[in-house]
Amino acid sequence: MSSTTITSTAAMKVDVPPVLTLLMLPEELILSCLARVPRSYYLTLTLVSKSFRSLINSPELCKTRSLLARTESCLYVCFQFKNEGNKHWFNLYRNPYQTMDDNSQTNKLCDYRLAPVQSLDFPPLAMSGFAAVGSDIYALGGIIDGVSSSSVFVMDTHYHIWCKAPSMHVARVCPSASVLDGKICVKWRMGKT
Amino acid sequence: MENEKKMITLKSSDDVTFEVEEAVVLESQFLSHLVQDCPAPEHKIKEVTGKILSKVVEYCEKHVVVVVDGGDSSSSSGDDLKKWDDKFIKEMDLSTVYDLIAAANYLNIQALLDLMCQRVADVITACKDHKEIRETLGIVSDYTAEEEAEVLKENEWAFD
Repeated sequence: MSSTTITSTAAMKVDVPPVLTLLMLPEELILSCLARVPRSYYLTLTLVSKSFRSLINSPELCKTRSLLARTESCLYVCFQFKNEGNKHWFNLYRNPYQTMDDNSQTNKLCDYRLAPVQSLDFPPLAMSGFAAVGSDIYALGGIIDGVSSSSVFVMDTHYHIWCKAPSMHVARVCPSASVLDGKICVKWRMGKT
Repeated sequence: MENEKKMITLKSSDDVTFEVEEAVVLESQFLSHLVQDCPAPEHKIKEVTGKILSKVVEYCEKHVVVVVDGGDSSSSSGDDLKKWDDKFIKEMDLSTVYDLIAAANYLNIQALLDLMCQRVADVITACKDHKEIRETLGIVSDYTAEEEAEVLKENEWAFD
């Protein structure tokens, strides 16, 4: 009797085909799927599992997005308090807790939240001007250690890494920057450019 | 007289055969090279099952027809093709979508790969939160309670 049971169990195992899941695909194909998800969902995705978090934070995802030419508008916000050297950078993400306030009265604006940008190397600039060109954010001039600066730093928003860029010709505090035809124009209080 | 169309037989890993026009086969970069390098009437595709190969053939047959007919009215046929693609993916479960991603990648059919990857992305974005993504995609969280709390803590400023 027992041998019959074993045989039928073995037969069942052979008959059931393996069910493929997303994480069973090669990594490049998983990335090809995730790269098509808007960046505002990335915070939610990091909460799914460790492997998802690792994929979302991997440079390969940025490369895949570039290859697929996935461009989208992202909102970055920078806060700095008057007597504090550190800047606080935030990025707009979809609220990962959609179900917690899931009712018809929820304001659509509540679906998004500002999340801190995880970067270890913010430049030591205060009172800079900012401009965005493509996927880069430029911090221009400002004050370093109490001295006005002509320094320019640039953050690659794919990786959230700041690098030093060529300096301006003159030091400026609180300049106003705008972008015209891909070129950054810097103005300061006398309205000169 | 109709032009004589060259037919090619594709055989899946589980020996299901599909007789298709050469133009359909040429939708796949991999099969194009295979047919050119090895002009046999039948080609075995060991990495793709009959169930999935039937979907691949269905997709390629539809797309090759529209490209041939679309010379004069490309915009309307483009719309029809998009409608057909939408219907094609909506009838499919996720397991089949993953199989088709693997098959499209192996056979090098970029448009099919794009369509299927976008389907997975759309399914993810339709989910309300990370728990629904886990349920929908069949992913078991490998976070310990402490690790999940740590990830939440990194972003706690965001939720005030």
